[in-house]
Amino acid sequence: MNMKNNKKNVIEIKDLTLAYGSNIIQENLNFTVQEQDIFVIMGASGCGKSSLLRVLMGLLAPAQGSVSYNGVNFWAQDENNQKKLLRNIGVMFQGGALWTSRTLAENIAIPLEHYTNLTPKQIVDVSRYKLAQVGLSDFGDYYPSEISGGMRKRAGIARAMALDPQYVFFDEPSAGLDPISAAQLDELILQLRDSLGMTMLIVSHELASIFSIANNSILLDAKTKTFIAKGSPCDLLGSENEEVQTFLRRGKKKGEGTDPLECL
Amino acid sequence: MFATLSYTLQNSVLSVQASDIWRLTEGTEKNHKSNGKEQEKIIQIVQSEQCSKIILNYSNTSTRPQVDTKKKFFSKKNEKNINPSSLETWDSLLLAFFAIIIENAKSARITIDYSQLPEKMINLLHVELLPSNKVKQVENSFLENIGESTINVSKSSLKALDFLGEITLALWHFFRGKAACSSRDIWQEIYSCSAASLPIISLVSLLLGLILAFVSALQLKVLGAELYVASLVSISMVRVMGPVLTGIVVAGKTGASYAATIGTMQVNEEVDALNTFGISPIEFLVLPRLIALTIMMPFLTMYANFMGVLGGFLVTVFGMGISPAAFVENVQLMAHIDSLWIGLLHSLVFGFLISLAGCYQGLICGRSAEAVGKATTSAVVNSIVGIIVATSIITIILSINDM
Ligand SMILES: Nc1ncnc2c1ncn2[C@@H]1O[C@H](COP(=O)(O)OP(=O)(O)O)[C@@H](O)[C@H]1O
Ligand SMILES: [Mg+2]
Repeated sequence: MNMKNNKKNVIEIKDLTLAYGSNIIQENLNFTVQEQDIFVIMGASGCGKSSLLRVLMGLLAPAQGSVSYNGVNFWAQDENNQKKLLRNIGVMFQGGALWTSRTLAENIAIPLEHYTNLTPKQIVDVSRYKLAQVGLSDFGDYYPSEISGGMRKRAGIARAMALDPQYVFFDEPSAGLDPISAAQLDELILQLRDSLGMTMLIVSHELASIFSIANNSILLDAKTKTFIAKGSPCDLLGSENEEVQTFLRRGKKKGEGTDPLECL
Repeated sequence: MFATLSYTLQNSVLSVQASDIWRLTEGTEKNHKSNGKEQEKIIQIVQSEQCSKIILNYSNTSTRPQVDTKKKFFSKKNEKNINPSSLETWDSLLLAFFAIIIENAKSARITIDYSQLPEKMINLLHVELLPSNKVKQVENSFLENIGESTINVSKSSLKALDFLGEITLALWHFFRGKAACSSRDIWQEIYSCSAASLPIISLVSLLLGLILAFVSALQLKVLGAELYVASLVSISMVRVMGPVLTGIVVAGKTGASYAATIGTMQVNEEVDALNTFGISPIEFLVLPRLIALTIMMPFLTMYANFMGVLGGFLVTVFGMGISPAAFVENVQLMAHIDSLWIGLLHSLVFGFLISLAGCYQGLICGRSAEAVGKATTSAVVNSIVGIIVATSIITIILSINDM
């Protein structure tokens, strides 16, 4: 773990077990996310990354263990308090999950209307600004069904940011984006973190992006049903664990073939 | 202190001063409103080019309440405190505002001085807010809408005819054993369409039999012909009420689910996937449902007939004191087996119509959740209208032929 700073732990996951009914997906998860971290959750598809996010965002009760935000145990709270905590969380779902009967601008405006006292004009201004941040200023009047998949993804990001939450969760944000948009997205995530002080939790497979923005990460494994490594991506690259090496080197063993990663 | 905004205009230098906590989720309505007014004035100055330079300024002197203990965290008094302290004292609310000033200044060629702003903020200010001239098609006027929907009526009826043609072709394929639809699919559909509606059909048709018996008994008693309740209920149930009732229940349950299922598949691009594999969605999705429902409707109707007649039987035997034997005798005397065949003919037609409407609405469904809802409603409405129109057509044809 990162010991070189004195940042506060804002999300703490203790002995967490994820399960659907009796089907255990992951167990004994332990990790902490510090404020203003860009924390990446890695793992092969199907290992339970989305499920982990669902527990963190209050959609799936954990079979065991706890999730704490700022020292408050989320799943021990009553529904009302959970809702208050959730207000600090913005989520970009894997498929975008935009509300299809609303235009992009309305998609962003709805949370603003619900949670703020802004005037209608200010809501329009802010949602226009949010769309511009993800390069969609031309498309405020479009419906989600009228734009491409990648654009839907970007709009989903804009909506996750709608309330400028403290925590933002992204489920595979760059999957389906072109390299340039993906790089711009990385840049945006960094900027938002640096400028506004958000804490980001990202499920991602994009090694290039992981190595350029993440300062902490965890690697989940489907076989052992728990994490097999945690630390900064560079730490992971120095790991002795064979599985970790194979994951980070795209299925190749250490020293085999050309190394796709330069990390110092 | 929450978000304050002020400006000074001196020697054609506009100095904009924002201070304190600018966060979307904090602050009162009044506060936002007064800032909004200042904002409009500032934009006005920029747009009318009363200045040649803008100095943007942000400072915060007030401290945010800190989140201390878990206890305090949720007490009513400290609700504001939930807003976490690691975030900045400003967010997109201020950024959006500055970005709009900048955008207006750029188009008026006014220089902007960023040097008074926190460094962190500057990065996020350079976004392209102005949509390029690519504007979405505007809403039509009322008259245009009328014209368009008139044209659409003929277009959509052509489409529906097209669909009928494709169905015919698919059926032709099916009977030659070449259709992309397996008997397993058909069995699956048969099972689900009958199991789904049986409980409702039982209840509704039993009650309908009871009602028919009670109501007709009132009139027939006057004539002293109570016995004829038996045949009246049986004939009306078997000949039209049974089939129509079953049709309406099935339209609501099965027809609607056809539209919803196929519509959702349309939204998820599953139908497109079928097309790219060269598999006809009509054969794969529509045929099994069409065949299953057309086969099952007569059976469901016979069941409904039975329950309806049972209802009539209960009323006449237990309510009016007519013996079961008399009931059976009266039915045998009055009712003709043709009534049953006519009823079943109705139900065959209804089954075909309901599955057609459901599948058709599903296939032409748009690509949004709302569209699926619309498709489902249209399917039910179309089916019920179809049922009633078909009933009248059949009735007219039969009465011409004296049946
Ligand atoms: N709603 C659900 N009910 C039951 N099992 C589920 C559900 N959602 C996901 N799973 C199972 O949980 C596992 C992890 O899924 P998921 O978290 O979506 O993986 P990832 O996002 O890492 O690709 C999978 O094996 C999947 O079958
Ligand atoms: Mg996933």
